[in-house]
Amino acid sequence: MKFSEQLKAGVILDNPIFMQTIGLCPALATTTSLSNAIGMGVAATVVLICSNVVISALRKFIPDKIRIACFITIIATFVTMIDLALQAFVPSLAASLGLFLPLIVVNCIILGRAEAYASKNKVLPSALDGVCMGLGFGFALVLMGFFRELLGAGTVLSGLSTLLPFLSFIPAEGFAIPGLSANPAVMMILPAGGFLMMGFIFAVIQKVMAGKEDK
Amino acid sequence: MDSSKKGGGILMLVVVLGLITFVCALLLGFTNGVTKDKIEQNGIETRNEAMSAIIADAESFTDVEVGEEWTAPADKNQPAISGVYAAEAGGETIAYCVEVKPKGFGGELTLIVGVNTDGTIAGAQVTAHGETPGLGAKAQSDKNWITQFAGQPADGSLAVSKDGGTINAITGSTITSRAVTLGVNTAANCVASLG
Repeated sequence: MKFSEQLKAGVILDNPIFMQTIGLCPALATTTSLSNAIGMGVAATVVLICSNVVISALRKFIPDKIRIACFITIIATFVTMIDLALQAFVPSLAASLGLFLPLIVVNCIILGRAEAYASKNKVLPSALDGVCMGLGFGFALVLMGFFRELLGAGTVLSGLSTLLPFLSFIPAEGFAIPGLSANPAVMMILPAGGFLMMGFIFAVIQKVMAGKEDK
Repeated sequence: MDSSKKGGGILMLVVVLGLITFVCALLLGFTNGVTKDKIEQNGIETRNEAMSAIIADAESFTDVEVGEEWTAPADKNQPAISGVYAAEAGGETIAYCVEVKPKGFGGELTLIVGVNTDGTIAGAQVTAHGETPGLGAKAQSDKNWITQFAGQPADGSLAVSKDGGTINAITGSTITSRAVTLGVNTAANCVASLG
């Protein structure tokens, strides 16, 4: 499979959130703002690439019977190492990702890709699969995070300058949207709003996909 | 799942899994060794920065010993105090900084509370938390919210407006707001006990 096809599959046709509907829990929990969504998307992509590469490299060595245990051990090791490294060298990023970072261990996208792809394919395609699926996951998070922050807090990109200090030209509170920021629909950044927003996005995608099939 | 393909005797399974976990353990041990001191140092730096921001006039901070009734309270509802520091300027103690860990919505918050010797709160800062981003996390990220504690009386009587007090809770995060208020009250009581 060519990279462009893999990319299309990861981001659109087989999008982990919208099409495979896996990894919904972090997608609901971490999309309260656009910058959180970006942080989670990047962190999950890094772990996904690393775990795909190692699991693919070890795929002939790991017996089928204990593969899940091996996968989880490898994934947990990567996540813990990245968590410790961030805490030591980029404490601001570690602080803003907080609990979500260790939670990547139980993100079923990562285990799902290990099981469905990396354990059956060579190292390079597996790494690319990690990139593509990570981008798809990140894209879904960004979409949800953008709309939830916009409606729920009336801002765009708040907190991004804390997450990525080199983007300090963006104000810490983000860009306030006139009319919305004074009276935001707070429910959208509460857990219930996460379900609502996910439902709306699913509905729109189903509509678009159904329209394509008709033609 | 053909076990004969990969010679799946039970001993083989044990050896492979043992080997993988062993390598992982080595990697984790190594990472921990490299990052441990740095993480600890980051924590101390964060605390010092927070203390200097709250008590701007302080020239130095000295550890103060407090009893077990504060560091490991018998009452489970009373948050534990993990450190008390006397802020000194010109050879005199001008205020105390208390590091206290009340229970928030997502586990313990770490809170630095400055208490002036004249019986008012100098200020407070959340240095670590596991609160919901966009909601409870505002206790740390929204710098305007926490400033309302500055100047309040340090007699342990503060309460959020929902409980009949004067502290405005963060919208949608009453539990976090209560936790911070409780932390500030506990810090104030502890400093009052120092005399």
